[in-house]
Amino acid sequence: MLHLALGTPRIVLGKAVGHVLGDPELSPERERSFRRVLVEKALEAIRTPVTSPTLFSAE
Amino acid sequence: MMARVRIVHYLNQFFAGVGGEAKAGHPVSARPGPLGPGTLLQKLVGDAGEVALTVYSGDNHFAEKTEDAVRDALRFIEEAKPHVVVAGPAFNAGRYGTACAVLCRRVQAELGIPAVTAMFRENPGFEMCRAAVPVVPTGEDVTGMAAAMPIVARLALKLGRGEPLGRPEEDGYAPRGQRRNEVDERTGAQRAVAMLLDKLEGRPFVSEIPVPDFGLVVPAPPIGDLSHAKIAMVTTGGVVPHGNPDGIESRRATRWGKYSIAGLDRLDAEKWTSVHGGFDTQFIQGTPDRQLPLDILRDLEREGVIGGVHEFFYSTVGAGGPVHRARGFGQEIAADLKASGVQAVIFTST
Repeated sequence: MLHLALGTPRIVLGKAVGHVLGDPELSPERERSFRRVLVEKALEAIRTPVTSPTLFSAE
Repeated sequence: MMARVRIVHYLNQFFAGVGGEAKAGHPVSARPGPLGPGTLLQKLVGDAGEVALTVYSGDNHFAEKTEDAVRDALRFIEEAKPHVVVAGPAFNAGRYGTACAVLCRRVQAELGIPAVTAMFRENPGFEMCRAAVPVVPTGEDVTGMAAAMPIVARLALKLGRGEPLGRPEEDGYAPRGQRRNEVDERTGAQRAVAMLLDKLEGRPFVSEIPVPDFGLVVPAPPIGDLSHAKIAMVTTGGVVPHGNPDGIESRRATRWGKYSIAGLDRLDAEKWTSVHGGFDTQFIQGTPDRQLPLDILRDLEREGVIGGVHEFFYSTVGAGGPVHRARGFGQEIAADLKASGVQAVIFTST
């Protein structure tokens, strides 16, 4: 949310401050799948035209 | 009766009536009394002040031989023994505005005489002196003279008499980035509630802590075909090789690092860690890919979804550092990325 206010053009919401692209609650395999979803979301953001700060949700 | 405020006015060659671009090499000169815009200044201060001397220089002369020009101008000013120096208004004239900024700063620092100037906000001189010298924001060109000069005149009289300035919005100069303690009869809680009620009722209110302006980032155009794009990773999460070879600080970092990941399939916890001092880094230390997803990017590279992963990642610590330094890091890293042919970046903050 901070990044929307700061003006970052393309934002993917991570899991937590301490593990942005991971979730230690998950098994290593499931965590990797979770990370892949977030990275693919970031790539989707890169492919998408935006004109103002935009949040891409992986939920 | 209060003594008249003695003013020295600085102008460029154009406003002093010497000539235009052809006379931009004119050396620093001085004439008793007001010249050009100085006659308006004199009219506005009336009997309370006297434009005793006008010092003027060609724009190019000041820009090219700055030390000589400042020395000559300071000598004229010192001899005139003014209470205050007024420079400009320079509007959006870059060389002129820069000269006004440099001269005002030097007058204050070396002669101990207060100075005031005026110019357009985007004049390069504006940011050069705003923190040290009261600058009246003006329009872009000379049509802004009538609006600006009364504010300049009032500030000149105040400064010349040694009176403290009011707040920027009261006295018409640009905020200098200073905070001054004030005593208010109401407590912080009372003022905050009053402000909230004003907001809810749609009444005007002024925040006591203005939100800093970080400027506007224009979004880059999208990349249609990622299968030929080189992707890089950048982070403020403090990921570094064990031993932190560049000595990146855990807070208020003064540097960033660039580390090779050529040939690596993932970020191994035996080799990589985080030195970020602003949160609990145990989960990055256990699995550094949680901060820099190299494992996934390698999969996507193999599958042909992306063209490739840049052979370096870039890292610093984003904790408590000033914005201007972060901006500098960003510019340096962006220049390196561009020179390396990187098309897109996954930037993980924390």
